[in-house]
Amino acid sequence: MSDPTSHLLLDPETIARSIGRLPSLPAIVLDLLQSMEDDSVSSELLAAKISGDQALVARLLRLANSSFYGLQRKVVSIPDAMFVLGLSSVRNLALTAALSDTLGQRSKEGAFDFTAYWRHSVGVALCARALATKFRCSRENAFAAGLIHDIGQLVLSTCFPQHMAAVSDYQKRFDCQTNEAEWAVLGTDHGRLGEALTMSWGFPPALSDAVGGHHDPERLDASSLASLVHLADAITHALDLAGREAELVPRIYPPCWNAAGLSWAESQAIFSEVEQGFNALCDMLSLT
Amino acid sequence: MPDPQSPCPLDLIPPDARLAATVNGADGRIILAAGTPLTPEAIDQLRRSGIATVSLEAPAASADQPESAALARLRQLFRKSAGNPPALDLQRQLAAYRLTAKP
Repeated sequence: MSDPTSHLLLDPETIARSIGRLPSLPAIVLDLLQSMEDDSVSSELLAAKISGDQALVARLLRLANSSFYGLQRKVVSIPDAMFVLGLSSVRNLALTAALSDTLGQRSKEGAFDFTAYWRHSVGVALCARALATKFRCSRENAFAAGLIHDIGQLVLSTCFPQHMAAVSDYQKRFDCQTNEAEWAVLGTDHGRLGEALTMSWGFPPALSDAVGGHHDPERLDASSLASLVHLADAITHALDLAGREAELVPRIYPPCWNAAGLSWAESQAIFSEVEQGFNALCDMLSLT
Repeated sequence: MPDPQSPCPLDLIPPDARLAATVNGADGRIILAAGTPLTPEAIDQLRRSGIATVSLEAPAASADQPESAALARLRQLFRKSAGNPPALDLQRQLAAYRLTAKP
């Protein structure tokens, strides 16, 4: 008897065709990502680019003036926010807001839990940032990689909703990880889909590699950004931030855990940092 | 508190933990007795004796319902982690965090 889900297998050509039909990201997102690898980037130029998107500006100023930062005076403009909060913070917040604005709009129908997706992504971004020095990565790259690590799930929900529903059914039936269900049903996983998407959108290679490799032990050498995201993903599942009843902590690849070498005090500090930052970011993104 | 059924590495012993079972050296002599508080000095003594992991006492029964709920949820989250030592270490660290962190 043939496998009833075999017609759902996704081959690379089908994936590439579907990704090619997706809309482009706003230029501001790529500008923000690419500027992270450019030490000579001008904060004035970046501020001018962000300022061109009024919805983005409004969200950023709302967060900058939230109780999370506890500032003594009101931040009134993006250059002002860069002065008060620093270039890195503003860039990370802008990236978060721009990505969620752009990608969130396309995924509100069907079985896909958009809110849980973004809550998890924000948690992994914050956790990856907190772990970055343990992996000798920049905090900003770590944040960006964490934020987009599951972007392949948005590809599935947008381009292949029937496939995603079958994956969801499989996962409920066998109480397994999402990527395990995806391999069983689709013959690929959201990491590979996300990697194909980010490469097609021209993301920096290190970010695409982290997206593609975060569930793949063969690509998880202990010092890579993918390893950092792998561990941040597991910790975020364990912190139970997405709000999913069936949440499940994935297996952690031992070399990644050992590379982090977290002491008791460090792990407690990271849990606290992630949970505190999480509430502020979710408030900004209306994910509460 | 950490799961008393799985050995806890010395580096991950939470504050206020106690030994669940007597620890003996290779020659059979007692290094630390069951119930000993695992102070930094006691942990050093274990380390000097070549002990890498110990079993911890289960936490005293608590009337505080939210604590029990938090630990039950952790067990549910880690329901597939058997045989994956890093995940079990993470579970211990989170259990201590859930019991000590302020809401």
